[in-house]
Amino acid sequence: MTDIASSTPENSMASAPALTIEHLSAGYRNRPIIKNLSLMPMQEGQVVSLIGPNAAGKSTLLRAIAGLLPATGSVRLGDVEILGLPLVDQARHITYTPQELPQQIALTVLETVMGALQVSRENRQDVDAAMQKAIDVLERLGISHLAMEQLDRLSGGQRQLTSLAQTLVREPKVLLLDEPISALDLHYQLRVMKEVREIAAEKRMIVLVVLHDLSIAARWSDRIVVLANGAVVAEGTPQQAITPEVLSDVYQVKARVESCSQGSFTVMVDDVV
Amino acid sequence: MLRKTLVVSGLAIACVLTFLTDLVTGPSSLSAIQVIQELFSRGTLSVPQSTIVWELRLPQAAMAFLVGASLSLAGAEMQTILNNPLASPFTLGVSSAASFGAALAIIMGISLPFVSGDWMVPLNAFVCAFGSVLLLEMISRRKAAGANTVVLFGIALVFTFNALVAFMQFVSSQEALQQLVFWSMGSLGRSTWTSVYALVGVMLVTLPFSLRSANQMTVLRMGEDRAHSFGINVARLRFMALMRISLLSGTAVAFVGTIGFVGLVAPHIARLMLGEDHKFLLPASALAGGLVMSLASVLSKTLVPGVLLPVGIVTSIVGVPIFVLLIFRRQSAI
Ligand SMILES: Nc1ncnc2c1ncn2[C@@H]1O[C@H](COP(=O)(O)OP(=O)(O)O)[C@@H](O)[C@H]1O
Ligand SMILES: [Mg+2]
Repeated sequence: MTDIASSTPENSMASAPALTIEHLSAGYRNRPIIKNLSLMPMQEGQVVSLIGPNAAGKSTLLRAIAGLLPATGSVRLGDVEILGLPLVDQARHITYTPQELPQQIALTVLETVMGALQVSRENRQDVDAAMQKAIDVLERLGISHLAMEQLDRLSGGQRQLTSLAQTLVREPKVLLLDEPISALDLHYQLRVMKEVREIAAEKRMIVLVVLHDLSIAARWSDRIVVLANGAVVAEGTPQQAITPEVLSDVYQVKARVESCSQGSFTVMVDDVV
Repeated sequence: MLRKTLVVSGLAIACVLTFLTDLVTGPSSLSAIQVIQELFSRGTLSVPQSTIVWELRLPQAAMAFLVGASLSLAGAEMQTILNNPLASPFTLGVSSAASFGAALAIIMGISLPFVSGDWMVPLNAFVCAFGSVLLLEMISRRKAAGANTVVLFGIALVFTFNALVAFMQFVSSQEALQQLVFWSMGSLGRSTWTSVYALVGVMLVTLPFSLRSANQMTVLRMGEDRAHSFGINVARLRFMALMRISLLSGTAVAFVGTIGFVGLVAPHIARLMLGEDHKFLLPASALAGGLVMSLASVLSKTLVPGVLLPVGIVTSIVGVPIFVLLIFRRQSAI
């Protein structure tokens, strides 16, 4: 457990394609949300957490990077400009997992996950291979026992895990996760973060994940981006980005950042300001 | 997977059996064996009897199956691309538009130029049905329009066309009115080989495309953002589906008039039996629709002895109990 933070050093491979976001602006009709936002390049195998208050624009930022919103600026993967690529090409590089999985669908968990694989032409492998891949991912997330269960009979947390499995099975280069653990119990919160980290390292993925639990974000990310009102407030290692000043500024709370006996640190919130 | 293949096969077998039953029932005094013998070697029966089998029974039975299959396939695709379980050619105004077109021809004598009398009504109905789907398509393509906007717009279409038809009925002659009422009840009586060929053609053109986009439709059920992010061009998927829907429902409605229930309920029957993997759902919807219509056709000939009821009335009588039964069975399973 203690080697997690060092498993993916920031500057290990200078030549590997990094995700670079520069001068990105995006929003909804007559309503700019993200304004001229730039981030430090994200390296392969890295997990970057995006935190910030409600309506800060976290989902909007992810959707803009994934090409789901009209946006200006630049999103590059290595030398390839991704913004403005045709959807199919973009989907080959980036996958976005929305906050919620829609309800009332008469599909099993396995069908849901396999569907994500079978939908694109280059992935149209034979059914058995797709099924094997889907089952592998379900096993990693600890929900293979739910494979034949109907989606609309699952709990919120189980649905969320299915949603994550659906994205992971596609093994995109860039993985954008919008609050993937918000409905999960303690065990699965940790399990998901651990698996996402391991998969990112294994498959050389770049992961940008929206989280609300600051202690989890600090413990499991290489880097943290704090977003408020569509702009970056702080960015850096967990220690650099999560400070009492930033927290009081962004969340209007009085908080302490304490390191614990095992090296990671915890955020303690004492009061609202 | 195996279970689903079996269910689809079971549906297909049920369709064949019902189709045969449909063939051998009817007002003339032909026995089932006579009809089947005649089908295998033409000319076994006397000339008038042979004509009944080949020119009435067979095209009408084929038409029953085809119309049910077309409307149900159109309904299934509509429910998915508009993300609404209430969508169907009937509920979103396509049938009403067809009625409007038919009324224009029957009451006002208005039609496209160079179209002869026999073709006026179906062609008008088709053009109007097609136009209404294009309208729905235009609405759904506007960026801000969600699926609900499209459904609300469809409901507005229903009321508009119904009001226009009611107005024309009000000013029409007694004779034209009777013809229109009969048309709008939906009847297989006008089936000919031409109409059968037309629908078979439409099916052959649309079904392969439907099946090819089945996987994409399955993923679309999980939300537009997800579909986009998996590389699906949702706008194009929607457009192509609406084209198929307009062809299928426009042609079906043009030849037999308003058939209300099949396009809405048969896809749900298929969904309740098989779930929403569209590789299975789409073909099963077509089969379920054909089955319900064939059953309705049989009943329209046998329900009241000696009377041939308009099949549009009977579809509801057949469809509703099956539907209610499935809903309750599903609820008790949960
Ligand atoms: N579809 C939309 N249309 C218009 N405004 C939106 C839409 N979605 C989100 N917003 C607005 O954009 C802002 C940022 O929202 P969002 O990115 O969802 O915040 P977060 O994910 O950080 O909670 C909010 O003020 C919200 O009201
Ligand atoms: Mg959000």
